[in-house]
Amino acid sequence: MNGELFSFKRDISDIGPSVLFDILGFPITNSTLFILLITLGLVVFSVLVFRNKSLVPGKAQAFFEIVYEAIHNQIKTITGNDYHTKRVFPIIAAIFLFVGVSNYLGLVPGLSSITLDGQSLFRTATADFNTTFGLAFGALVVLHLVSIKDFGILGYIGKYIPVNQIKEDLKKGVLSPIYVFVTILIACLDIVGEFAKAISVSLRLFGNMYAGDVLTTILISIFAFILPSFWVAFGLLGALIQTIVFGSLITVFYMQAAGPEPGTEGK
Amino acid sequence: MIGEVLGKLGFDWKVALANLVNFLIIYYLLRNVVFKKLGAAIKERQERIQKGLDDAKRAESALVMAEVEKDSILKDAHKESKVILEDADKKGKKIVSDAKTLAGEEASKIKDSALKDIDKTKEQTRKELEKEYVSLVLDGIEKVAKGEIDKNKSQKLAESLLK
Repeated sequence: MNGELFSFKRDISDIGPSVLFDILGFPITNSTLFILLITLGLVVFSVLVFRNKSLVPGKAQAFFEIVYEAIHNQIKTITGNDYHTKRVFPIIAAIFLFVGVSNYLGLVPGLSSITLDGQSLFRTATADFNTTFGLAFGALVVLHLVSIKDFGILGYIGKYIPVNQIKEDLKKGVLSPIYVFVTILIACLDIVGEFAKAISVSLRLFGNMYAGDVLTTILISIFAFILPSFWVAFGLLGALIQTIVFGSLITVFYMQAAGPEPGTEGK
Repeated sequence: MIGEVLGKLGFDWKVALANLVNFLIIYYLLRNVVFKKLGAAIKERQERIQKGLDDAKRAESALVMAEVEKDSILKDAHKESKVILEDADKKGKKIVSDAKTLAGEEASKIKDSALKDIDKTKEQTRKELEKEYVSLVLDGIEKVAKGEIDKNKSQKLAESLLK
C-alpha cells in the first residue's frame, strides 16, 4: 500500500486548449467541442421545454423562467431602467447563460476524462482564455457599436479625444502645454483602458475557472475521496459568482458606453 | 510583447474567433427561440395575473358600492316603514275616533228618535185618554141624567171603566 489507492495521479491540464482537428484551417479545440456540447444541450432542452409550453409551467419551464427572471432582475439592478434592460437583455442574458452553463458543466465529474488519442475531448469553455477573451472582446465590440449609435461617430470619438478640453487647456497661458499633455495622456489611458477591459474580465473568468480545474486535479492527486468534494461544493458557489461577476461587468461596460434613455436627456 | 504574453496563456486568435462564432450561434438560438418564447409566456401570465387582480379590485369595489347601496336602501326602507307604520297608526286612531263619534251621534239620534217616539206615543195616549175620558164623562152624565145610575151602579161602572 503506497497510498495510490486513495489518490489518482493525473496531469494538470495545459493552460491552452488541445487542438483536436482542423476545419478549413480553423483549429477545433476541446473547448470548442465543449461549446458545441452546450449548444446541443441547449437545443435539446429548449425543444423539450417549449414543446409542452403552457401558461401554468411545468418543472423545467418553471426552472427556465426562474433563471430568466433572475438574470432580468440582475441586469435591471445595474441599468436601473426598463429601456436599457430591454435593449441589452438578449446579449447579456446569453452571456450569463453561456458562462453559467459552461462553469457548471465543467464541474460534471468524468466529462474531462473522455479522451481521444490521449487528449481530453472536452475542456471547460470558460477555462480557456480563447473563449473568455473572444466573448469579452465580442461583447465590447458590440458595446462600442451601441455607443456609436447613441452618440454618433463624432460624439463617440469625442468621448476619447476631448477636443473641447484641449481648447480650454490652450487658454491657460504658459502652463497650457502641460495641461494639454495631461489631457492627451488621460485620453490615451482611456483608450488603453477600453482594451484592458476585455483583457481584465476575460483573464478574471479564465483565471478563476482554470485555477479551479488545476486545484481539483491537485486535490484528487493528494486524496481522491472526501477532500475534493468540499472543493467541488465550493466550486458550485464559485461558478455562480464568476458568472454573475462576468455578466455584471459586461452590463456595467454597456451602461458606460450607452447613451441616456431617449426622452431623459438633460434630466 | 502582448502577443507573447497572450500566447503563453494559450491564446490563438483563430480559436478565439471560432469560440466567439459558436457563442454567437448560442446567442442567436437563445434570443430567437428561448428568450422570445419565455418572455411571451411570462408576459402573458403577468397580463393575466394583472387582469385577475384588476378584476378582483373592480369586484371588491363593486361589492363595497353594493354594500353601501344596500345599507342606504335598508335605511330608506326602514324610514319608509316607520312613516307607514306611524301613518297607519294615525289613520287607525282616526278611524276609531271617527267611529266613536259616529256611533255617539247615531246613538244620540236613536235616543232622540226614541224619545220623540215616546213623546209622540205619550201625546197620542194622552189624547186618546182625553177622548176616552170625555166619552166616559159624557156617558156618565147621560146615565146620571137618565137616572140609571145609583151609588152602587156608579161604583161598578167606575170599576169597569178603569179595568
